[in-house]
Amino acid sequence: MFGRAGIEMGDAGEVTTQVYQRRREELRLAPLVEVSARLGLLASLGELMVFRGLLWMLIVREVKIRYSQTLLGIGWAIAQPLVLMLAFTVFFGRFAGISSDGLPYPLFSYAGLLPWTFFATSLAFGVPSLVTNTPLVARVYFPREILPLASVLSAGVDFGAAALVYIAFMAIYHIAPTSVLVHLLPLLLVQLVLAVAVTLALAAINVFYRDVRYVLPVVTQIWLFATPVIYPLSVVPEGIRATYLAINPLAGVIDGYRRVLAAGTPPDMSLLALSAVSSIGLLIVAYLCFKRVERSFADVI
Amino acid sequence: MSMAVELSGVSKKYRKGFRYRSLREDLATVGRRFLGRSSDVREPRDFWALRNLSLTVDQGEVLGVIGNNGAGKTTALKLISRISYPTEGSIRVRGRTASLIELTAGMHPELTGRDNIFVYGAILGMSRREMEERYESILSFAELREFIDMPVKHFSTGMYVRLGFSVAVHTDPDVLLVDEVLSVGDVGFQAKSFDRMLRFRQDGTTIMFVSHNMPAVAQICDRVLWLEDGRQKMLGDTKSVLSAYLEAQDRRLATARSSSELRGDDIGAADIVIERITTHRADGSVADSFGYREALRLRIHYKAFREVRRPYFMVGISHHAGSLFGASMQLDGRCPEKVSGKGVVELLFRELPLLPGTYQVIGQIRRDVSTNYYNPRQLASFVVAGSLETYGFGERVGLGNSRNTSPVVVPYEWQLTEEG
Repeated sequence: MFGRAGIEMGDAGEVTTQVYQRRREELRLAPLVEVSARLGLLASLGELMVFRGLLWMLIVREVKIRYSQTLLGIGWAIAQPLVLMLAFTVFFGRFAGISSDGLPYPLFSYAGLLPWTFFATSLAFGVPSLVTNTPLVARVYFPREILPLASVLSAGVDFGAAALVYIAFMAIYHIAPTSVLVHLLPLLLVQLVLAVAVTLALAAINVFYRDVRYVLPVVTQIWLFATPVIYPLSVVPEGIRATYLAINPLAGVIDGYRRVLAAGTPPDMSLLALSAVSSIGLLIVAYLCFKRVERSFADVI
Repeated sequence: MSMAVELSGVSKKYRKGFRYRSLREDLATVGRRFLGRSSDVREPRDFWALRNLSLTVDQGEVLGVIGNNGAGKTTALKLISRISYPTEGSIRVRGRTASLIELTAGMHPELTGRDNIFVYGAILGMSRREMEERYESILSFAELREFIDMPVKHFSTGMYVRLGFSVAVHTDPDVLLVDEVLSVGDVGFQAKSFDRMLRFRQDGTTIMFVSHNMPAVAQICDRVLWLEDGRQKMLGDTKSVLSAYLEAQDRRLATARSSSELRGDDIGAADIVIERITTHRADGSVADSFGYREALRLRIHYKAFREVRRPYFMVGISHHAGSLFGASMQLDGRCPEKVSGKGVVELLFRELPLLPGTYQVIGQIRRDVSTNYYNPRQLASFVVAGSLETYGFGERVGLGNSRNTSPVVVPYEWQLTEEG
């Protein structure tokens, strides 16, 4: 692009004419940009960088809106996994007697519910994000992936709030903060990559086929059962475990969280690597497909 | 002069009839294809919103885009602003584009005016720092300072538009795309937006101006593009394109009765139409430029398709700031008992109490209080020429200042009495 002239404000706040004229001179040297051209992967990422301010604004906006006119506000982000944890402990831990690999069931289920809730919230807000922002998509230009991205990242804000509850668990179960917690960083990254990938793909499909709206709750529910949130990974038969993990990268992430937060051991690195590779692969494919179909969003939305 | 916008061979195809697909339809299509029964597949009909449009706009030029509804004007702007993409052809732009297409698209009702300013600025590609620099200026332009910490869901439509417009014009664009914004908001706001456009023009901003407001187009455009059914019908200097366009409109109206191309709600009952209105001096000579307080004689050429009883002719004089004054047979009761065939109604304004500027003549024929024979339509325009000083106004008062005031001048005098 080109450098922008400084803007001088007059008393009335109007941009002065000389500044404009200087700017027009400068502009004469600027290149004509083909705005109708398809952008490659790198150019798309560059464009995303230009609009990072908008991404930030939309995250703030989404968090503000989500909890405006609610009684608990951001407290809901904490309450949701907490209530589920209580229910799981009573029904699955006590009544059904599901194994927790010897860990206290509340801690066991919370360590699984924390990343799961992030994932489910990302999908719930991110998948319809393009359609709910139809006026924006139909009337203003900006890289469209910003909308689902903002939803996923604002789910990250909820995730951060919900993670604070872990401090209470540390006090109750006498867990010392050790260097094992460093492993949360790669877990967080893989979790984010996966959530972005799936949200981008489904959000784009949702623009063309509104059927996604009806399919999503069912898929989310089945995905919960297919992921070791209620039960430990160890109950999955050894023979199919590799296939299982490859198909469901979330399983490796949740198992990792559980090891770090509940058992106090590092995650199984080979499992995490497998999850990371399939998540990154999924993200690249999803992003490229998204950018490909993005051009017709405004026409069909 | 260098180019600011270049369109080469641009076409845009839309699928007509449906907006989004359902999975069921597509699966059914795939299924039928698979079974080799493709004959009964109903393919959606294609609709070309733009056809092979090539165009260059120079830096600093103001290009008007006119045409009937559905001619492709908005589509063209959408393609240039990258909201949508061309099916064929390429578009190149130099510098930053801003569009005054949809002023309230980025507003969220739950957020305060202040938050919305920053979000909308970001949507238009401005950084936080740039927005902070402009924040004060945006506030004073929008005249919403005391409401700015209120969620905008409590705003009126006018306040919404003012806020959106204010942010949009502060984005410092190199290419400004304007689509009918001058028709939103109240009269005061319309005048303000028009002034702002003039200022952009003066500052050398390239402008593409889509409008149905012919006098506004005549006043600010250097060239005009006339689109018809997605194709370029004419491109050239403002005066010749506008007169060709208005002539074509007149022809369309004249033939409307026989071809029943126009429906009642388009021109009114259409038992009688105004074919044209011509502007004359007191002596009857044709003129389109007048002096302050000079007489204006209007000739209203009508054509009745059958005998019409008591048509109330009405004429209004308006300005971009709104309607100013007029003459109405419904008010004065001086209306012909019946008319048929072609004829002329003459109207004389003995003096024009108007400041220099461009004015529009709106013609209308009423049938009764609530229905029209002929809906109000702008049929002519004229200019009041000269500078204010020749009218006895102080020399410090310029044309630019007169734009913000009402253009109607009623003779007046000041009196100063000091007490005590």
